[in-house]
Amino acid sequence: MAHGFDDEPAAGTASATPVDPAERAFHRLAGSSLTASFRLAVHLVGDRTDAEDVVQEALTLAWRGWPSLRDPDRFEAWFERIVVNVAYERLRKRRRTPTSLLPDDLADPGEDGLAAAIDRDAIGRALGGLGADHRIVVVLRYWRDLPIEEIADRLGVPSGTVRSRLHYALRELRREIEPSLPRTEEARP
Amino acid sequence: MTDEPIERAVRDWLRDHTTGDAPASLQRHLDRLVGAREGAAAAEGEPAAVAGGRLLRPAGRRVSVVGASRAGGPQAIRVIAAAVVVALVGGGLIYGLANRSTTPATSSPSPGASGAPRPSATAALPGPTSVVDAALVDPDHGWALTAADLVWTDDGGATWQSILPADVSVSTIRAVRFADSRMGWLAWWSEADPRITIERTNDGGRTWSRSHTPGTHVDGVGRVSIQGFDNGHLFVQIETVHSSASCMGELDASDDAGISWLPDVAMPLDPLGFGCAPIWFRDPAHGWTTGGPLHQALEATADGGRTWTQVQPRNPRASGLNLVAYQAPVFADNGQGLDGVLLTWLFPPADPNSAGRSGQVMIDRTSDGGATWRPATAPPDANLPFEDDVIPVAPLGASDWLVAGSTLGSRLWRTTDAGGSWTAIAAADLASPIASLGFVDPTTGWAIDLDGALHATADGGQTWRALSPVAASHEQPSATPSPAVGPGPFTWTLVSSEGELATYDIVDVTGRRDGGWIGIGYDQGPRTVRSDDGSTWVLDPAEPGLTAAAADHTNVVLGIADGPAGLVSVGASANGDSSGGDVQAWRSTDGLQWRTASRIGGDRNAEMRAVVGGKHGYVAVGSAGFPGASILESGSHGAAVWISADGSSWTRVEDQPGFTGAAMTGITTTSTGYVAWGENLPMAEEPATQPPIWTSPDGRVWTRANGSVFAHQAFYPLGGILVGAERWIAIGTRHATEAEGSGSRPAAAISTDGGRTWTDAPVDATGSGVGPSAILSGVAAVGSDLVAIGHIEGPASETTAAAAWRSTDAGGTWTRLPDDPSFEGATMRSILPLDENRFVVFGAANDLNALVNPSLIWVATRQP
Repeated sequence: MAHGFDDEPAAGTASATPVDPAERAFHRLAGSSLTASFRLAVHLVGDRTDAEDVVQEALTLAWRGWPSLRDPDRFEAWFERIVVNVAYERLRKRRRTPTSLLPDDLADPGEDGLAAAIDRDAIGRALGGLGADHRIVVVLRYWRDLPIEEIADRLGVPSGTVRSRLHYALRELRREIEPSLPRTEEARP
Repeated sequence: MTDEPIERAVRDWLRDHTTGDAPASLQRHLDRLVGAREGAAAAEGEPAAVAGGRLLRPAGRRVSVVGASRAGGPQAIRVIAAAVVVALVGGGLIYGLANRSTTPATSSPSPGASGAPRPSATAALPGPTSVVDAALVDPDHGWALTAADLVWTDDGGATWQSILPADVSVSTIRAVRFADSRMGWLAWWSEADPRITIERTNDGGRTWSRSHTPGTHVDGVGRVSIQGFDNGHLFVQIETVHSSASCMGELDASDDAGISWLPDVAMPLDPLGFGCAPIWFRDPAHGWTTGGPLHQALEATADGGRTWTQVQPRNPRASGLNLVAYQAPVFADNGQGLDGVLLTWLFPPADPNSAGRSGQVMIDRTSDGGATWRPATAPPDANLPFEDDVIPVAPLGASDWLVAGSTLGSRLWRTTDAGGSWTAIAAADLASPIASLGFVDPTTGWAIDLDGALHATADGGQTWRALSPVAASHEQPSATPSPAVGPGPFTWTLVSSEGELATYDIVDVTGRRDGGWIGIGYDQGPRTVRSDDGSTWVLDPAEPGLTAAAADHTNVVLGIADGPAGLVSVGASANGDSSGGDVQAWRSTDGLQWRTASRIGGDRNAEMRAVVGGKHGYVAVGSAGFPGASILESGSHGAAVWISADGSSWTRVEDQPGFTGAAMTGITTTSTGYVAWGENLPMAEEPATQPPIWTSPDGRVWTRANGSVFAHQAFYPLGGILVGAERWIAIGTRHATEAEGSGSRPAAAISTDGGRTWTDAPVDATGSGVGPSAILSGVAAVGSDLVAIGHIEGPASETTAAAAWRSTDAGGTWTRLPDDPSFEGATMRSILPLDENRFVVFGAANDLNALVNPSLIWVATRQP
């Protein structure tokens, strides 16, 4: 379980108070970002184990770059960008290896018109089949709800590139998911 | 089906499948990283270096035993990848990104209050010039693969020349090996060709011949490793499928340097489903690889990869431990001798309570090429990364070994009596710990550090000198001359990339009617920047008039112009998550104090992207809908225009047919009115047939243009339009044709009828540097020249380089200007002519680890 600096350490963990104020601040900010970052990383790399590695590596990079962050209020966005980039590198190396996205922690999907008619497993498979470029923009756009320009900034690419990737990602998703849709006449009551 | 249900379904799926809290191991890693435990202990008087009973080593790489599934990811595999070839002299110092970016470049522990090491503010983050892989093949000859080039040295690293094959993008290269100073191979893969392409050379990289491995890999490949011998025997190992549950590899062997491939060669069959760890061959017959998710199996072949046998040099239970993780053995004498060493981790039982406990590293030695192994003593260094990183090791002789130290203390340990005694080598000239290590004789070797820097030693690792593997010239015997060669017509000077400007993002700049220039952009919020001479730029104080916004709203500034009533800036006021916003504009008489526009008609759910001042007022262009970039954002419904006499009260002009399916992003004045440009939106059902260019005599009535390649492009906004007396020139970006491959290419068009019709003009689309794709972002007239700027990018857009093009025939043809070293890793966004011989370019460094890309400002001056 993640916990912030001011929280009681979780049982079995040895979290304690760093003495140096700067270290304390990093410890607190990073600690409070762990769960959000981990969840993002899981969506990005599609695997809890890899996500743990991603966040761990991001923590190390963030610790290293901590002195360069002028405004601690922007820690969350800054750290998230590092997580995204570490995940990106990991996915890029992995290329388009199909990945099963999150077999655990399944929630009961709500009914939602046409979207509900789409085979949920097909969505997971389709997302898992996206390439690194496409999967990251999809997750940042539709899970993190980031605007295009901010995604472009997080990835360090032009916004046109993000839009292009999103377009083709959606097209690919549509191509993968559409076969699982019931035919129009069949969908009618 | 439209995008909408797909978007909703994806949103729902992601929301419904959001996982739980972060695992406790991450908190523990954070604790260790920051030194919480060690810091507390140090504060109690315990020496910092041994606080907590274990030296703090803020590293992230590990082969952990926390749970059975823990170490199955690609990370663990790559860890071994580094170890396998770490001392393969003549092979390479594999140094993947996964290794270099995990350990902070801490030096010795700082004597701070906590005693914990501090992150270094000056530590260099990996950049485009970072060495990816490198190796000496003898004391004089060696090669280095960087993010920008493949280079060769004939003088031990003093000078370098490019040996990158003419039509190979460096970003596609997966592995490089040289058997000697003449014979070598490289392997590359791109999405355009599902095969692994092998380039082989017999003349030290001057010329290359091409072949392919047998398999196809339409789903991509992971790591690729090459083993080559001077008799032409070649092994290529390809990581084909990788997930947390399994990893599969393909092994191909050739006895004719890769022209044809031998049958019946394969990776060992791993019952645990992990068969992709790199192979290492001491000679064409004898090789090793590791298996299992924890690398707990060491597999050996004596017949060139046809059959494999599991060997077990080390019994962990004899040491009171029960889990073993092997690094692959490494051998002396250019990696091909009989004397070798094998590093092995031994871990305690894998129960939950063992999480975070250290394992032990053991060393075994062989003098018969690995047939038998004898235990030796490991360095007495508590700093050794027992549970994390691969430990670089280099056997210099039968009993003479070097082992890399960790992030603290000594960089190296050396024994000359096979582990009987170890001597610490401080190697103070290594600023960062060693990630890879290789020697061609007992004194001469190279190392790559965790920052991706290459170092050489001539005294067995006692002292090191930094090498700079950058080609003095790009010598390609058969290549088309690269545009990035030789002196250009302009010299480029970076005038500011430090201080506040380093994190300031310049969005738009305009000349002031009273002289000088003013720009708008972002620091912590909207802020202006100014210059009197174009060379020195100073940030104005933060101005509440620009930053003040309604609750849960943020001001977005996108354009600035000077006009009859003073300065005007335009943009939008966006809500907290930027999912919606309304047009906003600001005006100022001095550029320091700004006031929000008093009234804007048609301001809801829209944005202004650019503004220009005319004789009688202002015209702003943008999009209906916010964000106004693309219909993918459910934002833009089309182009939109506003006019104002005073910059304070704005009227939105009526929507017109030509506004459909596009957004406007730029505008300038002409002798007859205005020309605006923008981008076509990806309308799936009604693809664009006209370029995103509009002309208007008065700002109210607009006519959409016809012709040019820009009529059929979506996603890429036009970079700009230059209005001349005889002709107008538009520059921008087009999608690459099928024959050209993937990505984008520079494009230009000319109009000789006042912007009504456009004809394509040829642009030099030759790729160089990081990749073939190009984005053009701006254009300006500089004396008799036209200059366009932008950037090129690699296939995955993760690497960029600024780029500029020049036309000396009024836009009829465009050629790429020679690259300046400052272009590497940068992008150029806008250009502003200063006089007939100088222009200023605004851009940014593409620093993926920075919160915002640091701004860069170049001043280019014409050569005498």
